[in-house]
Amino acid sequence: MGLGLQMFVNALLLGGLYALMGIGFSLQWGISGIINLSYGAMVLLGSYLSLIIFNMFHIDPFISMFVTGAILFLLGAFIYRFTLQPLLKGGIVFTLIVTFAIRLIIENIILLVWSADYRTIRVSYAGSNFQFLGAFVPLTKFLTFIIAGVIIYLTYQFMMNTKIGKGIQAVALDKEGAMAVGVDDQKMYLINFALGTALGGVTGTLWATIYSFSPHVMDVIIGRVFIIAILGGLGNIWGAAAGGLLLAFVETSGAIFIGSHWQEAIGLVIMVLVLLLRPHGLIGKKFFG
Amino acid sequence: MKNDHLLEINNLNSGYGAIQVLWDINLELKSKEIVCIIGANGAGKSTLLKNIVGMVIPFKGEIKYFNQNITNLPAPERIKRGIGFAPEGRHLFFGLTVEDNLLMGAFQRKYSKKEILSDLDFVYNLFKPLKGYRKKFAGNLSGGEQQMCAIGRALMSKPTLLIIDELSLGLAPVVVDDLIETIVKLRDKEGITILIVEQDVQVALDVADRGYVLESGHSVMQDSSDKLAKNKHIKTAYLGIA
Repeated sequence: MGLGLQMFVNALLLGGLYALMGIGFSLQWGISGIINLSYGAMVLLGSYLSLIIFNMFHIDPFISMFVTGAILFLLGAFIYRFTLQPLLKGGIVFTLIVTFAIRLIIENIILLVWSADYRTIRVSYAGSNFQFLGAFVPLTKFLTFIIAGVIIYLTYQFMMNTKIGKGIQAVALDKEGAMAVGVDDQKMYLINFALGTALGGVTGTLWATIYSFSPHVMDVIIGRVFIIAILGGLGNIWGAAAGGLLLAFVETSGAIFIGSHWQEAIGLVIMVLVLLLRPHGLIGKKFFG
Repeated sequence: MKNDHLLEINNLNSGYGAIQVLWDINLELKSKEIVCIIGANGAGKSTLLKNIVGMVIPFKGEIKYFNQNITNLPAPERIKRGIGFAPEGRHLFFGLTVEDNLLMGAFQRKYSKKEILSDLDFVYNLFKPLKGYRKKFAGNLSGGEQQMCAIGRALMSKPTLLIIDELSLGLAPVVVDDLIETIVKLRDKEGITILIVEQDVQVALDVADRGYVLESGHSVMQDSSDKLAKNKHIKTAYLGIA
């Protein structure tokens, strides 16, 4: 019972972060049609930006996440407008090459500025924790989980109830139909891509309060988001959230029952199974008609 | 040069990239007219419509709407100014309900809740079957109902000029008759000017006051529907009557 509950809590806390991280990538892929290979780098940029803000101004990451989110939003908009949008006609290969190049650029900037060393953001309450039904809950992990949940909910509300959100839905469902009702398709793709980047950046900031990070973490992240997005069904917010939670549960239980060195392999096996058995994702409805 | 034309197209040349589809097209629409564009597959009918709604920008030529040059105006701006479009293949949002599809049609409008409800009522009164399917997904509708939904969605933008690409394609003759009746009603009662593209020339000439004939990207003929129906070339090439 003790171990089972602790495992459940650990998985849930990790799952919140995975969910948030996966949604940004899934939106970019499923709606803007861009498999963003630089996504891991963008998440890490969020971590490093909040590290600078923390070191220079002593601002808590849970506050600076608004700043990193905004900066990453602008960066995403800039990248989409000036590198991806002009190359869309070239097809998916072009966007893969461009996003891979952006990844390399960001990676090298990070290496230059912060080196390859592991970094951490240690807030004053980093060691605090509390007991929940006998399970041990670190405070920072609990906070990241709650914040991730709130952001996911707000993202969903944005998509369903705002004019821009509805425009994004429209282009995702039927681009020609969207244009026929006067939706500016490129504007929607841009906002959606920038939103995905911002979600990645905020995830990076939250991540930095729990784990140490170095440039190589971007490979770990990109591997995870591929699995999460495919598990949930592309472009689907709740799908990606479920995918994130599922991956966290599979990894956590796999680490205990099979061995932690199998952790990543288990995630990939699940992804292959989903691709074979439910190619539109676990929750993937007929979102794309 | 003031005139009473709602829409005026002068010397339009257009196409996609290196491929030219339309050559020197001229077309005028007067207010409250129903005009059809007829022609075979690949004649450039849909491309012409896409130029009017702004989904394709012409190589050369000019498009005037209410005597204002809209040749390079972005599509959303044109819809705001009252050009409603029901595209070929309908392009409904299958993952949304009928009502949400209709609401999406008002995307470029600023409206109050009251206004939108009365506009929805207007569409439901026009297309009675849609009312019963309000909460049904658009993907589950029959072809005729989908066409109603697509025209209804275009009407939700409160158009002055309604453009319909392929009115009758894939629909049963009874359904087409109903749609024709509705279109004439829209012009007579609401004063909406209507431009339709239609492959079925019989249908097109039934509903329209005037018609333009496109052949391989050139406008080869224009006349009143009655005269076109009696024209020898039209009879042999399009109506199959010797």
